[in-house]
Amino acid sequence: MEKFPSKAKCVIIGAGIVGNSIVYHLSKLGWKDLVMIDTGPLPNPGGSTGHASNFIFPVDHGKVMTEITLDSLRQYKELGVLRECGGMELARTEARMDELKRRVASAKSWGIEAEMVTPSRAKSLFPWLQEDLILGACWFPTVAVVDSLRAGTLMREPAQQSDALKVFPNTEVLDMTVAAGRIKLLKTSRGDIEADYVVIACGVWSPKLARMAGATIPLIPMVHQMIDVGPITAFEATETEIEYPIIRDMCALMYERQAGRNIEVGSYAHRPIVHRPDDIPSIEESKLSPTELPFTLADFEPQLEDAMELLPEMLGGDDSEIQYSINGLISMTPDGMPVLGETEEVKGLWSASAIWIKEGPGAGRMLAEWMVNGVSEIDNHELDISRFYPYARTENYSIVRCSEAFNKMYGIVHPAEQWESGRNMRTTPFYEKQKDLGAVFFQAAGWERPHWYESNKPLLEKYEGQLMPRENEWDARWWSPIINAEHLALRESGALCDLSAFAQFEIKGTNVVDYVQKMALAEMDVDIGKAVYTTLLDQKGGMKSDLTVIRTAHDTFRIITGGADGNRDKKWFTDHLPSDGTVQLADLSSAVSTIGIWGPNARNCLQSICSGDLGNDAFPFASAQMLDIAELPVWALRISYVGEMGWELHVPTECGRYLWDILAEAGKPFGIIPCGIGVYGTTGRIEKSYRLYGAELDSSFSPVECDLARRSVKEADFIGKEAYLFEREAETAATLCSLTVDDHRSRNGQQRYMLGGEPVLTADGKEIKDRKGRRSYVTSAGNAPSLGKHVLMAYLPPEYAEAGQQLKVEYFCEQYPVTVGVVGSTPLFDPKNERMR
Amino acid sequence: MNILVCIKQIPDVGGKIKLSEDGRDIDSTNLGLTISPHEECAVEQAIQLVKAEGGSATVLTLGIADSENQLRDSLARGMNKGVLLHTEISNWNANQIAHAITDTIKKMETDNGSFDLILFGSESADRGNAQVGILVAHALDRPSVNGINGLEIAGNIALIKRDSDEGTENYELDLPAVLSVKDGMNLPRFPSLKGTVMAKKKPIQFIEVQPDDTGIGFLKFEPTPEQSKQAVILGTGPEAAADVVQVLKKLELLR
Amino acid sequence: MILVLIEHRDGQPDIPSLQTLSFARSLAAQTGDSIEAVAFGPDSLAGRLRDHGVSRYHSIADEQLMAYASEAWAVSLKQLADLISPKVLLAPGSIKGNEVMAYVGALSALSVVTNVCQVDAGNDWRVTRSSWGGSLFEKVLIDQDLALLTMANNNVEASESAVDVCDTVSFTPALEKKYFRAQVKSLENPVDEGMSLKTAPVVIGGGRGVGSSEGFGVLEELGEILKGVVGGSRVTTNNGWRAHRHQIGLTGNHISPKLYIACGISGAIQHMAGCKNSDNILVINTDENAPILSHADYGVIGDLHEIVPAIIKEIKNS
Repeated sequence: MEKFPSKAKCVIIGAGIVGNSIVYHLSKLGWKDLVMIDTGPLPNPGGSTGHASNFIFPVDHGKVMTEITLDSLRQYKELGVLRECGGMELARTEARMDELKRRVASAKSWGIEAEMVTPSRAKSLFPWLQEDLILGACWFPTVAVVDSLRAGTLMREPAQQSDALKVFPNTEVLDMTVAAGRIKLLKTSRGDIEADYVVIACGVWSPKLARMAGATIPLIPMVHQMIDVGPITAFEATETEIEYPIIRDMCALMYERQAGRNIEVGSYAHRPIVHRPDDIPSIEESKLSPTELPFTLADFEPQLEDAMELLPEMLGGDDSEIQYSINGLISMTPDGMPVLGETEEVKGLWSASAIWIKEGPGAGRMLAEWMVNGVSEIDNHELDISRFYPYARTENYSIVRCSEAFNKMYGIVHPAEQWESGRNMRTTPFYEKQKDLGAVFFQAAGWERPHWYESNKPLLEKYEGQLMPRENEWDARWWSPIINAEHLALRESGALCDLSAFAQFEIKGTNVVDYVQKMALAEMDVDIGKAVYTTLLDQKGGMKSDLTVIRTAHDTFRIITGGADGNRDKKWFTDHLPSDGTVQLADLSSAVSTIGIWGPNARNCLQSICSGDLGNDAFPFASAQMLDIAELPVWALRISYVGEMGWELHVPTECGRYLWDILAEAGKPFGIIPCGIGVYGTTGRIEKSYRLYGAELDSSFSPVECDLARRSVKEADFIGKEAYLFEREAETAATLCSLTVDDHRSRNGQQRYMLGGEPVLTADGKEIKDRKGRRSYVTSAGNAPSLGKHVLMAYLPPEYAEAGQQLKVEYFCEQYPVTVGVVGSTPLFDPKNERMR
Repeated sequence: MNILVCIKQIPDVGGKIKLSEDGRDIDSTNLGLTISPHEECAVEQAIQLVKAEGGSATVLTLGIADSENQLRDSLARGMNKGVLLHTEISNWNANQIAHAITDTIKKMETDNGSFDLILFGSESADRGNAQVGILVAHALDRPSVNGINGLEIAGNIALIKRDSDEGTENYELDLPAVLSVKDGMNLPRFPSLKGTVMAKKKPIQFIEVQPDDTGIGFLKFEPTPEQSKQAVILGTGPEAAADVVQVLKKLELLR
Repeated sequence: MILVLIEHRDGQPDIPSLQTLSFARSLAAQTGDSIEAVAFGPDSLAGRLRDHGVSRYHSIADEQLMAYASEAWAVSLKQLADLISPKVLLAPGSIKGNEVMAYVGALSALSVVTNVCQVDAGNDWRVTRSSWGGSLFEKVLIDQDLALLTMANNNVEASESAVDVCDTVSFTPALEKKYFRAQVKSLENPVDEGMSLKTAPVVIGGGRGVGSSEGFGVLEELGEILKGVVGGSRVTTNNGWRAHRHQIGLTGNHISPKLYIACGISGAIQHMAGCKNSDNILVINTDENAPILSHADYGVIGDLHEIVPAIIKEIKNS
């Protein structure tokens, strides 16, 4: 073995599929002087890669995860380690049949082959199925099995051969040294090594490694049980690893997969079994490998019966023996997504964790591009480690969340599904008041936010006939007609909305204008008190965030961004602060509580308790001032996300409760009610065609495409400017449009309401693809009660982006006619924005 | 044919054994539990014999309540019923174990008739005293051979093969007999899915037992000095063939 | 006095018995006892025993005891011990040694300590024995007038240390017929009929590097020449290159040959579980970092498809 170097540009810890993919892509992108180490031996160092079942179902309801999976499939194929065998998801219940139909829709949205098949067709694909157990199945012809260990070797070797990489197996990291907030040195069992960058790609061990540097990686190892059964007589003639489709018995939360002459049966049905990273045994102490823990039969027993019931001939015989069984460790995260990116705590220390076989090569490429170029081709915001606020980074939080998520792995999870664990960790000063009003709380960035108030139930009668009631249970789940009643009340008189989940930063310093100019697309050198809505771009012109920036003093700006994006945006801003300290960022999120008051009566109501002049001249739209409201000093910002005249009122958190009381009381004579985020986040904004980051906006779309480009380009330089200028001149590939549903009636006569993510099709039912290969799908869906319409937003290529264009949307395998209402950001409701003025 | 097989639950250790702080137990936090390969062969032999000759195969263990899992595992492979001599006291010595087992066998035989064969593993995978079988045989006044490699039943006679340094010894023992089995006598089956499901319903008798005060006193375990291998690299490519042949000669595999 | 059971072949004490004598001498050095020996054999053993420090040899030459019978041997030893009252009865850790001593223990209602590595003969005797298949030492306390011990294998070297005289005393035990109910009827010399992965002295294993079912051809050829058996890793059986019953590893066969030749096998933990008891491991692998090399005695780096044919050729030439 080579001499262990004392210095490297980048040390990659972990030689599983992830680490190998990273070294491959880093070296391909031109990085040299890479060192890979692993505690275990090669090619199987003993982590989760070594015991993975290695099959890949490409479809996920999420776009980014699907894109990464497709990228991984492509890479596995190029490496020659992929075998396409097809796969089926089975439904034993009607609810699951519906879920499979939803899978077909997601498959169409992301461009993957999928079709619903009958039980008898399912049986013809896998002849040992007990066909009368199932109602149907979804067939995915492109499901594949890969050899992830071999893939790892094939990715590592070229980097070694090109002298970009040195590899040291059987090398343990003992400690890490951080200097001035930056990773400096690793102590290993072979000696010390200095590094500019360190990547933690250690799967279930990642949190333990991160802790050595004082960083946190929110991840918890959990047990996934798997048995290997054989010999299977039916597979005797099989010459290959796999000839028959993989079965996912979704209702039993299990899978069955041919493995040569045997069949592997895996389960996500057993009780959640957490195994803290510190408790993982060493390689020497392990009977099999550190991540193949002893099988606990009692947990698996019910699944044995499910499996035998499904495949009685194959598994029910005396000679179908359980030849190998493990409690395999897998990485779980609080939100089920991988953890990628530079840690918030330590510069130069990157995480590539909680990545499964199906994502390995894609995630490796993403991370390598991100490290080398600052951006990745596939949008990374959902995977970005900095999405986790401090509250979500404790080990116990991971444990409770992942324990709850475990049995949902094959579960039917509603897009608006709420968690039961890790609740009430962040509450606003209004929380008790809201509870008294019967608030139904949804969680956002850990905050408990009212989604609607049961106290507004009497409004249902008032607005009867305009409420667009939902007949279908799925459509109506995590929804209430009260949302629409609150919406109509807001438009009629006004409403108060708790917006304390916002993240707010104060940016201050001598060089602040240059800094804010660099960060934002819009002109930032504005008058004091002016508020500007702007997008932030990344280096390649993709959208990094959209937020409001208010100049509060000659040297001070306030940034207000969405709770979901706050921690990520904070890292983006922090990373770009000048190193000389001339600009400083302070996080005010927890210091400020916010209530929005909007509606036709908002001004009169506020005026009744405020001595200041609230008229358009004294307090114009898109500006901020200090106001005395009753006895309280309030920072008021005249802006709206719901399309009504009104203000966001910001007070120190300790004053929040008092502000709520004042406003609630003052609002009564004006018919102003409390309203939930159901209005603020969906109905109000969608009538106004306002975009939401993570739905309409992410780095794979440009400001031009979503029609947030400005008429002119500011002179000052800003991140992504070059790409932005190019994009402005180029032919637009797609434009964000607002569509309305023309007919909601399904075949069985129910009125159906799409919830988002559905494929948008041509009038004759064909998929729509833009010239960049992106498919059209519903980015957001919501009722527009004031229009009596259900509105869908979607990017459409120019040939379809035309008002009046007839199209279709597929929902649960049925197609519904829709019409393009507006192209671009013009609102459907109050297109001239007269109500806000 | 009525057969009793005695097994012992042990931690399924990896390459390195972690001890408890006082050294009196194995730290089995992350370890599975199993029985020795010898005992697996004994169980397999009993299942095969009962399949061929009819009768019933009972599996017995002495241990903590969790030992039931090892009984169930044997039941899943095809044993008919189980007996758990329950104790929460660890580190019984060979004499104490033999006494408890003998007492139980005597009671069971009074109730249900004699066992034709009582099988043990040739030694347990943990402390490996290699004595319990003989102590039980002596107490029951039955013939016994330790560490057998082959067994055939011809009427009332057990035809036994045992490998010793001198060659293969042949024995003919009258039944009933007590035999302890050496790994490799057969290829033990794994439990089938069906067997595993059925094992849940098979009967297990629980009997409380206490160690008497006979025999040697166990003090503690201690780790042995570690040994790691460094392979001698004979060479690279076909040129190394001559060196390989030298090794084969050294090991007396070639002359 | 320490009494040692000697096993012999053709009138010569075997190596384990001589090792046991070496151990007895180190124990005698602690206790100041003399060493006597007992064997089911002829007077002629006395000479060699004297060379190894035995001052008195008890010869049990009863014809009916020449074919091994565990119980009868044990009863004989018990009767001798009752007569001459040794402090320690020590036997080699052989199949017979352990078996006979277990019976002696049963007959005398005393405990036997097997696999003994060391004895601290103080006020109470602390004995260190090999436990957990040699992975651990176990310390036990014995408090008996007669200590019954069997040796751990290959724990000490057999060395000579002659005494001046070794008396030979003949002993004739009184034996009932029933003590012969388990007696060796006949002895077969080991033959290699039905050689399997488990019994073969040479096993050749193929892994992913073999590449195909046909690739096993050269391994079979080598197997024939070395009178060995060919097996495969789980990859090869899963890929159908090899029948499932030929699998070496955790879920397949556990082998313990004199030499295991692992070709194109990287050495996954599961595989090692099946072959780690091999006396010697020779690895042929393209990867010099292959983990199997850290369990191996010999390694050849390179492609098995080139190296194995070269070995076959070399054997044929030599």
